[in-house]
Amino acid sequence: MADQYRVRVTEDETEFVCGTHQDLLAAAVAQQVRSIKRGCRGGGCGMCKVQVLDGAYDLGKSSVAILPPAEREQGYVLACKTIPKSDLKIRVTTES
Amino acid sequence: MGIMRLGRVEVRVLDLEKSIDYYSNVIGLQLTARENGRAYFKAWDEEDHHSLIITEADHPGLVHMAFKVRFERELDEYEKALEQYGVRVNRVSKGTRIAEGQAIRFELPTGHLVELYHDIERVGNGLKLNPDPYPENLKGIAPPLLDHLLITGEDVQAATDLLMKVFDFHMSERVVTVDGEQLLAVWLFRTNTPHDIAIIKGPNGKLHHFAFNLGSWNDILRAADCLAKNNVAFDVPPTRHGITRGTTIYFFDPSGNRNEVFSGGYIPHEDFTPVTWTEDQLGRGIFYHMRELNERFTTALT
Repeated sequence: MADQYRVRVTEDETEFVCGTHQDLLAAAVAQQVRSIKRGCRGGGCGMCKVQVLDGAYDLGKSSVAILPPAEREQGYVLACKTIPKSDLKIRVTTES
Repeated sequence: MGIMRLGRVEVRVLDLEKSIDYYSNVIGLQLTARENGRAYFKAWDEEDHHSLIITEADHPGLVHMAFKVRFERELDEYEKALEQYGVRVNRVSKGTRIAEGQAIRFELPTGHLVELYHDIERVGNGLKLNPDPYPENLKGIAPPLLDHLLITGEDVQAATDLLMKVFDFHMSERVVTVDGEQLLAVWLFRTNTPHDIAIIKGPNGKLHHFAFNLGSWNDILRAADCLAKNNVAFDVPPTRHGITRGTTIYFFDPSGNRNEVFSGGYIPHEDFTPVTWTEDQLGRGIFYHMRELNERFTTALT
């Protein structure tokens, strides 16, 4: 099993790596990838909402008020609460 | 007479255990009780059983805020006054939550639930006979007191009118449109601090932050060190507010509820003439040094 995965951000063609116990936002910030907005980092505000287009992940406790079940089914996640389980392709959303 | 202070806030959290650890060990409050899905805390210099309740839920935010009144009979008086003002009032019976007596409950025009109460178990601060200045074994930031909260709502004027007319809140500061026509934000007090509650234009029913009091700018710096050591997410590191003149840090609890530690500011009295800021100067009013609001400060709400 890999100890880190590659995360591709489709809009700006950037890529960063994320540890298997690291959340996407922390990894992006550490590598100066600024396309994901940084909010409360606690799963509560929704600023870091992204859509996973491809790949497997675990989503930690996130507010249903800003990430309702219907969105979760479409692959929307909060980057601050998402741990990759494979390489990922993500799309930065503008709505949140 | 009347409202003495912001007595408590109840907030929803996503993970109770993580939040108990944060509020106990990083903020440094005293855990006074817990029950299924809820925990109760007080700050070290407070005498009442609790000033913060955290309740586990699937989304964060404010459940209610409560103001403590000087006398129990004032619950009846305010119930009448609110009803005359056209606001529906409910009774919250004794024992609904741990250590609390009865309360009256109503909704602000901004959709936030407010309670008024007098009766709550007094546990004391242990500093009433030949005392030391502060107790032993404080943890984390260890603020002495809960200070204020900031809520967002669409009709700032209506909520302000209710609080000033029914409860005799006084205005310390306000933000208005450049033409002076519309009230965009307001800071209101019943104590001698610049605010016990503030309201800013935004979505109804949301919490912007609740704040704990600290004694000095040096305590603010030390609090920032404590937050950094514990890997807490900052919103805005130590700086000064133009509004209230207080010093501040904004940061987030583990569920994304914004917390503040606040120190200083002036001491207003009932005859204080409100300070007015125009909307174009809001950046300087909120963050006196940077003179601009970051996007997170205005959009991250719970």
